[in-house]
Amino acid sequence: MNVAQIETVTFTLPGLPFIFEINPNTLLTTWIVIGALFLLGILIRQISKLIPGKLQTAVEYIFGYFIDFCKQSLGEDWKKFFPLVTTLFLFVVVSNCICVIPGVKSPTSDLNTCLGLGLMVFVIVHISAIRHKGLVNYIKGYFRPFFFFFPLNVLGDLGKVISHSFRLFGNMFAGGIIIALVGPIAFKVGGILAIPKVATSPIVILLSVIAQGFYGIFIGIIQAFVFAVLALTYIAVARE
Amino acid sequence: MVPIDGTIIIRAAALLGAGLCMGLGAIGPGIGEGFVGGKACEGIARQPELQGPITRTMLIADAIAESTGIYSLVIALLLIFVVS
Repeated sequence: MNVAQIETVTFTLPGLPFIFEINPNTLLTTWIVIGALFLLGILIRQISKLIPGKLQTAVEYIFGYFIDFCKQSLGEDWKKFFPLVTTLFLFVVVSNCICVIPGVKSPTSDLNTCLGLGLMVFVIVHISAIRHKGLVNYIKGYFRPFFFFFPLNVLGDLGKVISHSFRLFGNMFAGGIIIALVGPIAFKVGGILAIPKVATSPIVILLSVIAQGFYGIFIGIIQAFVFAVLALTYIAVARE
Repeated sequence: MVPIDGTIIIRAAALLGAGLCMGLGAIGPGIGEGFVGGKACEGIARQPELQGPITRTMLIADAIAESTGIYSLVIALLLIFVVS
């Protein structure tokens, strides 16, 4: 059983010397996540009232939490980066939790999504640092505390991208493998123990559900929070 | 019985190396995260009203302590999917 395989489709366009490669699963689930978030936004706008309902309260709580967080980290400039950080959180949390639907792999268990998000944060961090401090101060920051630390600082910045994106990828990838393995293993062990009607016995189903709940929802929400907060922290540190 | 040649030995060594890499690489982050969690518990026990900020800082520190584990995961994935 090859649980780690990602189906890819390769094709060429006439007149171009490149070979294009897309992962249709990841692409489709990413667009579904984007559409779901878009619909949620429209829905919230339609139903928002002065006296909030349940959904509006939940969304307002998340937004208020991130507003406080951005104010603590960035001070006056929180309005510039609050939309980015909250969008990152919402996108990553929905794409992590979508793997509880059977047969759907979360797009974050594909390295391309995570590396894309990580590179986006990297570019934003450095552009915002240059615009806030000026180019000269930004370059001077790399020679701190003294000249020989330049390669160390550069490697540290590159390592941030790798650890930031691989953290999300590693957690969701490992979680996906465990979710895919728990069901068959429980099924086989139940067969060895001669449980009657093993495919519908409650304990096997319960084990799969617990694995999905833990690795899909719990770890998914924590990793999404960590991803957004680390992006915010990198931005705040680079602007100092 | 499969005849043993060079490629099979390389594959076996890569898979063995991936297992060793994950196992040894998980020691450091385990110790670090346990330390962070324990200290956070002490802090919350001393000042329960600061639970929110302490938990937030603990999560970030956990994520940073995890980095070396993530690097060993990268190496293990390279060994499994690229080398072997």
